[in-house]
Amino acid sequence: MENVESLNAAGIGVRFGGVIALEDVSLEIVPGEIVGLIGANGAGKSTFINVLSGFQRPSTGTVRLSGRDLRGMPSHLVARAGVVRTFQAVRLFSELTVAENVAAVAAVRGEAAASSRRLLATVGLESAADKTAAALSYSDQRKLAIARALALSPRFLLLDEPAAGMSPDEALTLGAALRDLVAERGIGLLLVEHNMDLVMSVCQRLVVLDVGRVIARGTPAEVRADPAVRAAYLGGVPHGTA
Amino acid sequence: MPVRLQTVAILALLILAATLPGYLGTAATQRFAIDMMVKLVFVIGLSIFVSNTGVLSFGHAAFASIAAYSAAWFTVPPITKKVFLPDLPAWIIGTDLGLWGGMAVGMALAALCGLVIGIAVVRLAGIGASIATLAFLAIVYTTFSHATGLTKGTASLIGLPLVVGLPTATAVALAALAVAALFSASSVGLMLRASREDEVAASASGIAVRALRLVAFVLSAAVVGASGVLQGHAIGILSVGQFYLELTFLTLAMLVIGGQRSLSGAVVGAIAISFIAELLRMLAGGITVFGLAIPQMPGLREVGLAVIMLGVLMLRPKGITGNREFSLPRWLGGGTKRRESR
Repeated sequence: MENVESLNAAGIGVRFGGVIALEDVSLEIVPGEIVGLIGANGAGKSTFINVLSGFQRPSTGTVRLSGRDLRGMPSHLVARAGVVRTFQAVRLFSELTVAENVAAVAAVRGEAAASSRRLLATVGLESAADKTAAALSYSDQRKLAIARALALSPRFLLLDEPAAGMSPDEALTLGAALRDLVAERGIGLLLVEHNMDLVMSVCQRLVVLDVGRVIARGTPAEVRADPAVRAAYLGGVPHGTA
Repeated sequence: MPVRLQTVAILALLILAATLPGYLGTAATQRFAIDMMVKLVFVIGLSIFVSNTGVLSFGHAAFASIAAYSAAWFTVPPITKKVFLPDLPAWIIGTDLGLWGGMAVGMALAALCGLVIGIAVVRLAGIGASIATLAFLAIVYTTFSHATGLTKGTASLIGLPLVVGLPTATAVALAALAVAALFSASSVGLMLRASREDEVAASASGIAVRALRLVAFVLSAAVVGASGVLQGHAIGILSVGQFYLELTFLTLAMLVIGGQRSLSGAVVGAIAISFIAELLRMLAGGITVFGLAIPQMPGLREVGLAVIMLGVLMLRPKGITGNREFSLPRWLGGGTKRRESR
């Protein structure tokens, strides 16, 4: 029914025993847009990324990539199909070099190491190529995680708190880099992030989760003005520091 | 760290240098050198799986056993087979393939068993996988102990042609080195080392962790199998006890002490521990130094190796090589490329 390229999650519900982690969450991302997924800790944001990337089988609902059902597909095949994620905890290949971190993933697509070097240059890590990943600074580790994800040439990229631990300046640079990335590669980006300045400045659309349910969706301006969001999430938290 | 050509060259020279005592001395030193090469092939084969996947295996001695016996089925003279191995099919009893044919059969069967057991092992994570390999070792040991018509059971199988000398054993060790280096340098090796560092992130990066681990397990089983075939045809006798816990822990100690995450570690560990174990064995037999008689100390070898293992684990947990590969710039540059992490 859909020939249009999109990542579509419909009616996603996840239950851990009696605990409802997600209930009836729907979200569609198309190439070239940046969608922000926000919500307080424990709202279900990471669980939702786990569902989209094949790490968590939803109890209800479907995930479709351009019409193709991804439910039950192992995570490595979801990644190869074009839906690639990063982790809140970064999870680099610590003892490998920076170049090897990217080359190992490029090898999945049968690509040579040269393309990995170019990718490192795009995130500004080419001079650190021969360092071990564990020796990188925290913000450089997050950049490497993004370069590693890009090595798979994803159609949809799911970033789980990429700006965590970054200074405001670094977050600003990251935001610009993400916009360039989406513009150049035409990928669709899902951004889970607590840094409201970053989210408000780069995302075209926002979806707000609260205890597993969508409580608001719309443009950053609409979401900011939404009373339900203010009550559940933004209320009481000084703007830009959450 | 990838294995570079110069690393392989350095390791090959090291292996050749280690065999020198075998050419200079007596029959005993020759036996020692051959045994060192046999162990080296085992440890290199083991490292193909352990170094690249980070999963310890306690079961590889079973592959040496399977290959050693199945090779012997095709190299022991038919007359001897009829007497000692009456349960073998007639066509096997009548077939003599020679050392290399036997080795091919042995390695193939070890690889096949590796494939079957590996499918289960790679589904398990971490220590669970290791325990499963130990169970496999026990199963093979028990089965071979009772399959009297195929293995002579707990008695020794004699009559294997003594066709493995030091040059042959060394050649196989160098071949094993080449196979391990090629695998490590391949994209499969790189993807496996990524999964060794973080299995979840590897999976999220599109790496088919289980399938690649299975590839490493099968290749590793085949190379370790070659070690078993060498051993049988170097000493002419097989017994199931040769391929059980003692061999398992000796070879694991070699790998861990050398540095379990690099090929250099496997080679250095196997050679260093072979020399130390031989020295301890001689000391244990009792010697006289400057007129002072040192009495026999049975078990000194085992105790000494345990002490060394403890020392390495406490003082240098990444092994003698620190899990790095040898390279000339590192030595010439006074360790400027030295990388420490975490």
